[in-house]
Amino acid sequence: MRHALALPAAALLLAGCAPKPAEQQAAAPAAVDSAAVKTGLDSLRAEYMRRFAAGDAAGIAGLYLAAGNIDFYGAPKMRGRAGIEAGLKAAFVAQKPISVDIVATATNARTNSDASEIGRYHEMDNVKGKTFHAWGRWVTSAAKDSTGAWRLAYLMAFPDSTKTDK
Amino acid sequence: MRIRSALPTLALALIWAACSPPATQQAAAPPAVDSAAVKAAVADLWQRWSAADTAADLAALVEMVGDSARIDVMGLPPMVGRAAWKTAAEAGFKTMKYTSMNITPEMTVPISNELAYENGSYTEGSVQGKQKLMAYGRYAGALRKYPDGKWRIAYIMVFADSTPVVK
Repeated sequence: MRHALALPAAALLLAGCAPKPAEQQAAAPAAVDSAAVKTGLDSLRAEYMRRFAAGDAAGIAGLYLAAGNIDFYGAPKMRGRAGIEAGLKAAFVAQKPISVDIVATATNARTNSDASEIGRYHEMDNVKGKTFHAWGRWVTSAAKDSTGAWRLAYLMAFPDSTKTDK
Repeated sequence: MRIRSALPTLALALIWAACSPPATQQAAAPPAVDSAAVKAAVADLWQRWSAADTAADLAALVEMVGDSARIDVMGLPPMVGRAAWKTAAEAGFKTMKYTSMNITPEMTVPISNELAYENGSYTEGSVQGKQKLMAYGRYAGALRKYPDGKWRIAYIMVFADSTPVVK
């Protein structure tokens, strides 16, 4: 008799301790693998630099989420992938890309699929036959798309200094 | 008597402790994000920021920036921490009188109940010497609710697209 009473009590206690419903369990995020996030963003940045050097506006736009946005000093707002492609194409007519060196100085991996970064860049363009340099700062947020690939969600950048080679 | 009274409480506490997941697991389960509340808090921050800017209230402007916040403003070196921000803002107030400030968020993304990403535009009227200026610019940043319950700038990047003279 004493044992019979003890079992329901233990069952009730276990029920109280039991894991929560599935939808609540799903809300618990996995531990953040910061190294993997950085590796993913490094790869994305390297691809961005390659496509910039190739003057590939459509290719760069493809590195953004469909609803990605850019705010560059000296350029109109670029909204959405199509807007980014159009904006970059227009910019590349005035300034033909030579290269861009992008360095991340801080990465904040918020989850395994979303992060923000800040950093600096050195961009070189051909403007009327002369090499134009811009050194500046940038901030970005990035997220994994439905395929698991890292894509840029937002980028803002401005130059600190510029120079045109003689 | 005191011991007997305390026993049920102790038992409940032990059961609660047994049922409670470790602290790390508890922290991992985020509560639902109250987007409206986050957006309202950010809007309130900007309202106070605009008021402090035009009132030349340096202390209030400094208080609205996180201890280790980073501020990237075009034309100024990177600022990290309140002290750096205070120095820059103080210098600004010595040469400029800010007469108006309007901050217009374009997109606010409530990441959690304590963090929001936002980008938008702003206008800032000022008087420098005898010149009246109006800056039109853009910003992007992370706004955070700190342990004291106050929302502050954790990171912000700002540039002015143009600053024409107002006639």
